[in-house]
Amino acid sequence: MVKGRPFLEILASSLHGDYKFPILELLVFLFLLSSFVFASLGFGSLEAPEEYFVYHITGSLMGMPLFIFAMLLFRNIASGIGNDLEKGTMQTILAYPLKRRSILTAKLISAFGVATLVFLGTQFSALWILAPDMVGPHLQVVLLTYVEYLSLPLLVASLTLLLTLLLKKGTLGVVFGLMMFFLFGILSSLVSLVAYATNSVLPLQLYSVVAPQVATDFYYGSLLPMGHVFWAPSFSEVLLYTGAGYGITALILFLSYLYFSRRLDT
Amino acid sequence: MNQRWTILLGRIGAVLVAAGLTLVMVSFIPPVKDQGYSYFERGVVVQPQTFSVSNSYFLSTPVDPQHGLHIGVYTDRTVSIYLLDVGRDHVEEWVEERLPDSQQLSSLNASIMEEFLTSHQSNVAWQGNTTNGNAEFEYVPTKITNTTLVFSNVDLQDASIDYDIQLLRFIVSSERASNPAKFAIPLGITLAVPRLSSMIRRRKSTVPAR
Repeated sequence: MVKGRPFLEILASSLHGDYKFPILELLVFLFLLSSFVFASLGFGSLEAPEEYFVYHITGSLMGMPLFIFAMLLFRNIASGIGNDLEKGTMQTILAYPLKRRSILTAKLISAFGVATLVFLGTQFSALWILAPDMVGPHLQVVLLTYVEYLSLPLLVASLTLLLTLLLKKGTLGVVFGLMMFFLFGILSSLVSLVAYATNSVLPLQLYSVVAPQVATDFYYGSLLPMGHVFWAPSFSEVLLYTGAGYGITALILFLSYLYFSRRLDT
Repeated sequence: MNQRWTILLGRIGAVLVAAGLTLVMVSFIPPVKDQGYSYFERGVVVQPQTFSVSNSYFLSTPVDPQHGLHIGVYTDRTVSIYLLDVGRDHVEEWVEERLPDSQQLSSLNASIMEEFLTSHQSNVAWQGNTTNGNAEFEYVPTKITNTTLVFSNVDLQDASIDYDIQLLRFIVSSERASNPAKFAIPLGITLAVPRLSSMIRRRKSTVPAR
């Protein structure tokens, strides 16, 4: 067998399973349509640097599509990996002349990689169509916004993957993913409440480790010419929180790889 | 061509067609004229060979790619109209720097405004003339911006101008959405053709002969 062929075989089969016609086409339709429909660009004043507006416009386009994207990730993990483990199909896949970590990589490229590519592709296209004169000069702000907003869904998706591998059940994994995603949403409001009630930024700082978007929100909020700012993290702090968030995601993925390669018993 | 490549290109083509059709669909959604946000002014007199900068407070609210403007200008003379994507205060500051004694922008000398327009050509978002005394146009910005409306009376007699401005709410500008669709759909169909033809061939070969 040609070197690399088994990897492509598994990748092709995962892609076929995860994105049966017309799932991918419907996703593109939903991502694009909801980006335009749910975008909220109304600003009462221009008393802020343009980066502030670019950050908020990019974020506003991601509202509903990000939710659909997170659902897609959980579903892909559940059906692509969880169901294979549950139904015993994984035994056949593991019989391929390929290292286990390569098998998981092929599965994750399909589950995470393609979904992220489609999500970012549609988001960027929508943004470019809507406000080309804002995207062009502030590309780094747009990219940073994507990195920040994707951090939490990818973290929850990694946790879902680890749990799916441990439980060997797809359905449970997807339920766990959904619950975690909503829990983080609730936690976000609670953390703000506690922070304001105690007049301490510590809860916000702690939460920013898993959801760096919070720190970025405050960073761009601090650019507004207002009197009192509750928390004004510096840009390097924002990058630090982002690094920490992705570091945790990488650690969970590493543990998943480790478990899949050495411990998983099909 | 390898079957896998045919399938891959076919899917990319189908995705492009889906994206293109979504954009076409969105481009058909008409803008809504926001009746709550409108402004009109009647009988603005602009002397011959002078410019006038509209006094509308309405235009001091920034517009964005989802909030455009519909502007109608009605006059008995030939008037040149300029819509600038800078605020009135920006024009005022620029004029004050050159003419510290100038009192107001309401009736500027033609030469100073021409100078401004020459040095701020990138800020001219729209320009045109009234034909048969009327001009109507829509402006959808590509960024968040303030706007200023400038009238230039190129006639030799006073021009009395009426104008109204209405806020338009868009999902996305029709033109901006349909332009990429014009490329995405044909490209998508081209990429999907090999996949479609192979599917048709396979179906024909599997249908039993009568």
